[in-house]
Amino acid sequence: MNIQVLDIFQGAATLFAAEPKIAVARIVLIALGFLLTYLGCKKILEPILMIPMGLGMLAVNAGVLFLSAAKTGTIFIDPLISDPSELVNIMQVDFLQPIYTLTFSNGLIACLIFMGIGAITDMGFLLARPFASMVLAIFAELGTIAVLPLAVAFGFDLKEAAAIAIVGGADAPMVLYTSLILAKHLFVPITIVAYLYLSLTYAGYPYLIKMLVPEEMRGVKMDTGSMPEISPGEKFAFAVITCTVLSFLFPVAAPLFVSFFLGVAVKEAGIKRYVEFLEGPVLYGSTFFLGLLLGVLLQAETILDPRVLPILVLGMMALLLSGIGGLLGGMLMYALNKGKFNPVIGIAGVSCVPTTAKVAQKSVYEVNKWAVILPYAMGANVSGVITSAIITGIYVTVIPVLKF
Amino acid sequence: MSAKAKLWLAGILLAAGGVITARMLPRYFGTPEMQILFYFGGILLAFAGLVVMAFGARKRS
Repeated sequence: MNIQVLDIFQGAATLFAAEPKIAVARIVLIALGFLLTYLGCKKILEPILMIPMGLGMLAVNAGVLFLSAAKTGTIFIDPLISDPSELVNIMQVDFLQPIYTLTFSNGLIACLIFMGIGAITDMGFLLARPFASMVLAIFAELGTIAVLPLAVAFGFDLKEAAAIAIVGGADAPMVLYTSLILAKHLFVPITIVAYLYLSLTYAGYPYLIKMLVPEEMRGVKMDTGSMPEISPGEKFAFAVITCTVLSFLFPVAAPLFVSFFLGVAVKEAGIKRYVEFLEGPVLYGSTFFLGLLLGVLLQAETILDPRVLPILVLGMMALLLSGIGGLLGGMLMYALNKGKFNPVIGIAGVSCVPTTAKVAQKSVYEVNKWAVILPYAMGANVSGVITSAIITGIYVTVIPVLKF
Repeated sequence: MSAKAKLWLAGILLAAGGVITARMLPRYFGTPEMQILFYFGGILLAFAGLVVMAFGARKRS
């Protein structure tokens, strides 16, 4: 009996059958998968995303097998398939293909996450300080605006550049949605870069705050007692009218708007069962599968695409510039309020709800244990979501019709 | 009419004006410069309307 050991252990055998660079990339990605899972477990990176993403990444790169004598692949997912009959066949083989085809490539998963975010969002914080919240949110879009021409300078066309620049909005469902509409061929690397970096904001933004904001400014106390109470009816009315206005202005982004404001409306209408459904199973279920799918999409061939490196650089610049912009906005508000406004709140204008608001509060707490800025930071955070959605709407509406 | 209601109404009217300016008026102007001007002007107007509505919401009645 002649048994080929490598035929039994195909995950290892395919390493030797592939080109050396593919084999090396697979090993690097397996190691990165371990690292992300570990950092997620230790809560250094966002665990709810990093653990499924890291495990998906290491499993898909380890689990490569011979599909035929000359072809290797996995039975996880085939993102490039488009022929309907092939798709039906592959859905019966690749276990994540149905979720990818029916929720990922049409943007549904981004909308589901947005429904959940809407259900945990309190518009009251934004309505209590509308001017400050909106100014900070506009400043925190610096990366989204500045990286667009930079990406064009890096050789991307305008649609691809816009899809990359949206990373600066720090709103992952928005990145997913924009890249699906404007640059479908790049959405895997752009979305992976965006989600990797969004976890890094958790670890990186505190250092940016320490670098840019002097300690005495970080400890400024905010007057939380004078914040006006907004009734649920008014928050509901504001959500419904804002959704209508934004959908009129940017019909292409209307699915995102309706998803977010539906979550808000359900919460403010007091429909507890729907709120529990959206903020629990819908939000966490979608985030779980999104993380797993992103990890599974991160195969060796993806990172060997020569466009990934510039996307990595531009994505990092976009988030860095947005953070700097937010803090500059915070400094402006500090000056306008004659030192009675904590400039760290500016970082919460970067719309990664609620991470950046929590980062802001944590940074302030380290300096002054009596300074509570979270309600103000949440206002800037919610405003950041709306501003990012507006810029997404402008990009997906205007850029496809621009002719040079 | 209370100041609160006036702010809400003014905000809604401004936002509606912004929608009309951004989505309808550009159809009647041929030059791309004018179309872009009306489009972004309308967006700003609608955004201003939302801010005015927000001020209406925080106003104590």
